[in-house]
Amino acid sequence: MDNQDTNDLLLDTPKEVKSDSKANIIEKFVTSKESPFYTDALNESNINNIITNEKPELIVLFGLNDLGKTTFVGSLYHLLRVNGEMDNYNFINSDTFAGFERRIFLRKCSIDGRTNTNRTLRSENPFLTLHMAHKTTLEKRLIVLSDRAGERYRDYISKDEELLKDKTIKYADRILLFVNAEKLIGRSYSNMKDELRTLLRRLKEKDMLPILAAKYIIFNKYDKVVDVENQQFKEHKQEIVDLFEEMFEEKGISQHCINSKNLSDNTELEELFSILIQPLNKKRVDTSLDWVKTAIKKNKA
Amino acid sequence: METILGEMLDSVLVIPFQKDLTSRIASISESYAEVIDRDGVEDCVLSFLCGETNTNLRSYIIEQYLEQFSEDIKLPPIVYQILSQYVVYILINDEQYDDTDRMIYSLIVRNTMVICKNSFNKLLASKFLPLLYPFSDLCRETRNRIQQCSEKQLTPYIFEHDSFEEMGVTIDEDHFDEVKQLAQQAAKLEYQELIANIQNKGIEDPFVLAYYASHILVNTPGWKYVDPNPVKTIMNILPTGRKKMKVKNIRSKLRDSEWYSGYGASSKSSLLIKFIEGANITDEIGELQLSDLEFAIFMYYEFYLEELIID
Repeated sequence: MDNQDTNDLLLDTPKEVKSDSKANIIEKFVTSKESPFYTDALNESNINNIITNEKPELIVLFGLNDLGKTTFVGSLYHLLRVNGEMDNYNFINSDTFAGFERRIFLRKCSIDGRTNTNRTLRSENPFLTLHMAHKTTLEKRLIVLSDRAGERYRDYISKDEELLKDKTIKYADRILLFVNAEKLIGRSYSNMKDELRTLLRRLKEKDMLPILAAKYIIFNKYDKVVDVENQQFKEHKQEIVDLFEEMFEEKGISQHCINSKNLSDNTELEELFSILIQPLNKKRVDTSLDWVKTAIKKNKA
Repeated sequence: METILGEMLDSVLVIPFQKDLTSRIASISESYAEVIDRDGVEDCVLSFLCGETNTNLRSYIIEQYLEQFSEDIKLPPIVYQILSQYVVYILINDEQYDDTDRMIYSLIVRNTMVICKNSFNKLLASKFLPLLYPFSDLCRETRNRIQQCSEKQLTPYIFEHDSFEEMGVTIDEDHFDEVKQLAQQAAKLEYQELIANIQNKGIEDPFVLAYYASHILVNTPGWKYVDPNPVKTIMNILPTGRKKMKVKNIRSKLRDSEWYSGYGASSKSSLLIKFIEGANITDEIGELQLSDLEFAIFMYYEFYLEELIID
């Protein structure tokens, strides 16, 4: 761990794991509210403890359930762990290895078609961290991913108290807006769009949308779309883009059509990961910080 | 002020603190501002500009939090840096504090900024830093403003007599503004002569000249009453073509020069003076590249702060 007391990261007192059949142990790990691991995902009360000397970048994965957010995170972690690097950055550490491993497991369940366990649980801690270091400058960069259960977002549609508790969306530096591409066509589309509109409108009404964040519309499960040239599919896809752009009051939000499960030769997914690993535009330096230069300029004038 | 702390904290936290926590630590930080001296302020500045651990502030917050709210508090180290900045922000911007102290604290911030010259993009809550700068200049400009006095009761006659008795004038409060103006104008004239003297010394190296000039300007009696704009004065003294050099090379040059005289700095923020004197401070400062004019301005304000502290 970098510059921190690992005890700070203890979420809950680890509980003794009772002897159980092998088959049940894995399921219990997945469904257990309390983690036996000290590097599990973090929550609102301890996420700030990881900060060392710079504000980390917060990337929020936004969307209702069953959109592949957790699989997306699991795939990113898998690639980083296997390759140890991405673009110009080396993956050097995480405060939440167990949190990632749990998601990798869920990703595997998803790939295997074990649908009973392929969800991030409502009560599960959402924050995962990636410590990266630039290969040449060695400059460090800390990324915090917020992978909250889709059910929680569903709660926001109807429950004010749940919505107002969320302190993550508003403070996102980047927000990944997940959409299930498969559902852009078919009977469930209209319902999906209505839910999404209601959710976004409620967040907007409460001034909880991160207007200044970098935004990415992610059409996930794109491989399952039978005909991407279908006119209705195209129209619905555009309607979703329009909806996001209307709510965020921003035109030209970038769109990414991906399949977050498949990792072999998945150029679209890897390109998106590369974008996310790179820092957002460097912080602009306020020239007035250099008071000597300011004084010289003033007197020259 | 509490809102300011909230904004400062938001610039470093992943997600903001609860309002009541911000409010509590703001209140304890404000009480810390009331009890610290210059040394404590310097520790705060070194904490938020250089990332040094401010153990005194940390202990104070932990103790007070427990005492006032009967709870332990554990904050990330970066939050203590922000609280250090908040304390200094209060001390400079809150009118309840003494003007000279506020001026000194503002100079401590400005002088310490030299170490951040190549890393402004790494400063925490940087949008609040320029708000800590102006007080020293504003205060100085106010104090150095030449008295405006249109009613001349003494000046027209003083040259024709040898005493006030002979003039038939009794000096009283009515004459104060006119006398002050005369004193200021006389000091200004002496100051201009001093500047001319510096220029006539024949010091060829611009960095040696920068050091010598800034030292003399600050150390000459009357200086602080007549020069509201020392940057302009320094610009007039130095040659117009700018040269750049690493501070470690400037140090070697100075120490070989006959115009260099040592100076025992007492403020932790007088980083250049201390480095030139050979104090064991960060090597980073030696690698800084400064123009002769930048060097002169930094030196001037370091000497200026040292003189204010002595006063």
